[in-house]
Amino acid sequence: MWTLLAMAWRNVRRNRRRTAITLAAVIIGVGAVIAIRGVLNGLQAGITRASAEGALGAIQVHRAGYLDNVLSTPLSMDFPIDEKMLDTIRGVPGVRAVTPRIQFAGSLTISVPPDREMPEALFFTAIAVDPKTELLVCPDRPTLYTEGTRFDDEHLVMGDALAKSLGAKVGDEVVLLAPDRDGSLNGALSHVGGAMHAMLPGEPKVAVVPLHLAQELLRMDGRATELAVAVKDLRDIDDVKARLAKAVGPEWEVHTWLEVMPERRTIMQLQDGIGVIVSFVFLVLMLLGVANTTLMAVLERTREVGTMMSLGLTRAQVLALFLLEALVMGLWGAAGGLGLAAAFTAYFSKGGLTFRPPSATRAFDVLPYLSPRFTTVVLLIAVLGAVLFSLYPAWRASRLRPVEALAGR
Amino acid sequence: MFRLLPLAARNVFRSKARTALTVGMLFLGVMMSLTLSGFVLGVGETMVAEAIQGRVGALEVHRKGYFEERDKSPLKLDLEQGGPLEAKLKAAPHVTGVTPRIVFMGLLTNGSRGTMVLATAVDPSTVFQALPQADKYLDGEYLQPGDGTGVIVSTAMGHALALQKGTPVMMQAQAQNGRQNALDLELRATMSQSNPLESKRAITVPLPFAQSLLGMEGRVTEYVVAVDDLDHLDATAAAIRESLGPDYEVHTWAELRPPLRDMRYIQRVVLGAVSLVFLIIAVFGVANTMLMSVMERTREIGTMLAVGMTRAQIAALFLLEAAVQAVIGASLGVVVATTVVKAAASRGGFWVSMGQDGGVQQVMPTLLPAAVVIAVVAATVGALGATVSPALRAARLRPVEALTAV
Repeated sequence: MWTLLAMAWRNVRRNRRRTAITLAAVIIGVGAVIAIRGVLNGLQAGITRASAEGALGAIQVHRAGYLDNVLSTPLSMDFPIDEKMLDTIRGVPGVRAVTPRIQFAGSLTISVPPDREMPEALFFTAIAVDPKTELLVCPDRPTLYTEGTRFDDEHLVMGDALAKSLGAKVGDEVVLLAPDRDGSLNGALSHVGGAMHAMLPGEPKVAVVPLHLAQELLRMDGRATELAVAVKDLRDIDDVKARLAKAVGPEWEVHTWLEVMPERRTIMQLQDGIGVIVSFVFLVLMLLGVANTTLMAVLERTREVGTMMSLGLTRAQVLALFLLEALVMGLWGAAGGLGLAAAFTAYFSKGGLTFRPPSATRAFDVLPYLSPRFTTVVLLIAVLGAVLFSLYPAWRASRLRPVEALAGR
Repeated sequence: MFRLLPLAARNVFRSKARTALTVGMLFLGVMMSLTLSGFVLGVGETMVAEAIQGRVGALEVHRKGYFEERDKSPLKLDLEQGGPLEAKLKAAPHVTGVTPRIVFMGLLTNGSRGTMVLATAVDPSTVFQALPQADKYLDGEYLQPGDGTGVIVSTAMGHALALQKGTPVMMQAQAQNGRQNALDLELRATMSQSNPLESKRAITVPLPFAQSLLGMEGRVTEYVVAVDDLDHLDATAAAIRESLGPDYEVHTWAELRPPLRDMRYIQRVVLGAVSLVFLIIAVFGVANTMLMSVMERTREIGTMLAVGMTRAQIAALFLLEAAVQAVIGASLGVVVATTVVKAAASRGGFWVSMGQDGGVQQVMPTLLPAAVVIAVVAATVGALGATVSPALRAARLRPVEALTAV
């Protein structure tokens, strides 16, 4: 066996040009497959992070039935912010932090000095958050704010579409109007603290307001409609969700951010699907290249096979020799491809691959990374596939008749 | 050159196994990249087609300044319904349909709770001339001419306000004169499309309803214009701009929905890159077989050189052989990809389910003519490029040595 391996090794190196061509195909194939997955990993981690740590929170807890009605921002499905309940949630293993919120809709305008024309009131939807504890759950939320934004009990942050439509500037006084739980309209005053980028354009006009202000405006002192929960490790999110659902009981509904934003889940599944198809086709094309090379080697070396057989090599050994050559090629190609993909990811994981998703208003950086499981599977497919795809040519070589092969027929 | 072509064609069919390999690689490369692009680009193309034929329209005409202020949906910048403006639009070249609309914001209430909506008021008697797919994804019946109180909402909105067909709802909005006004509506249908680029807060109401709610009798905020062929879009837009003068603005769907345009662009770039890798791998395969072919036919090359073929002709012969194989492989790839895509499209494409609200999105596989041309040209050029080195090798053989080769 070892002799055969040494021979295979030497044979692969014998026809350098052909080996180089085949290896190049395998390296590009394996490298592209692993690198594409790496970019997808980075992209999806970016989406996950922006959603779970920047806007929604990893897990959301509502009164049962809330999410079905979320578009109408039902205030009647509210609850008192109860320290005992918060402690129960914090006590669930894997939970990092929890914060209360209110989602509501209303209209707002800015009050301006008499010499400026008062802009028309605009409808908007708002998320009211506690300026301090929100940061424990969504530490990335401020990254959406424009520079110099102030968000505290006295200041709210407007989506940039809203700020632009109103011509609002930092420090302007804002008049908010919103129907409370009973449907009667109330007003409250606040100030513009800054603007934030919308993740998606076409989002209705949005604002982030301090929880305190919303509770006053909506007459919901000490109450909330949503609890956002951060988890210690996003990979355990489903386990944490299950434990959390058990801990709070059936009167509550517990959803991960993927369930709150099912479109994003669909988009990520589509990405995964296309990634798998592309990888599959790359690998098949590349392995056909290996089969091609082995077939040519067999055709070209007919006389050599005849010589080896007349010297006493068994048919099984001839078969093994050609398979080993394919194996050596597969190993080299897989190693080269891994190196290529690793270099690519390492380079871009420092600077980031600037990417502008079709529906986002601003570019964000994708930090590609390799997933060990996927990489291992691809490398195994490349190496074993090279052997598998060479079975037919190798078998053909092993069926040659020594006399005819020696005559080169 | 033309004498070489039949020779090259005959050589290609001489070694069947090798030709099968080369042609097979190119076939797979072209077929795979075209099929994949057909399905992936289908997502974008379907969304664009739906936007043009169902929601946005090919062109929209507003009063000057509307576009800047559109986040406020300003009712003051309005247009006359019917009259000379509409006549001018209909008279423009390539225009196949014109329909007026009002876009406004308001509050939709079911008695116990309400939510902000973005309403589009359409004229049910002309809407299908400009937006033939306006009723796609509809669960229920579209607004009929003469219906003054019907409303269509998204499935998610229907859930949120607990609406059933026939449920009365109230719409509240600020009229053109600044006063708040409210009128009753009845649910006619729900829209199950769940395109992430479209708002779930979009509702559709009849034009007469909006005009009386907003105090805008005989007025609208925009005209939607359909054209017969999207290739004429820019020319039509320019012609309309010319005939309407500076008091109006004309925008194409791409200007109205930049995310859609960007999505299409990104899909094309990504697919271009993927197809490139497909082709590179396929071309390596060609390089390999051609190299093999040259080595195997050393004696033959020697003979050809001995009977007076020039070195240039030898190189040309091998390049021609590669070209013949590339054309055969690429054509087969195009045929199979076209068949697969057509078959999928004739069955209505795919319905992708988006989320829990029962939302769906149709995906109609589409093969762009440009993609076909690019794939065939790239495969041929790639195969030729891969053959340059083996062909030169063949051309540089010395006749005497080549003739004695085994």
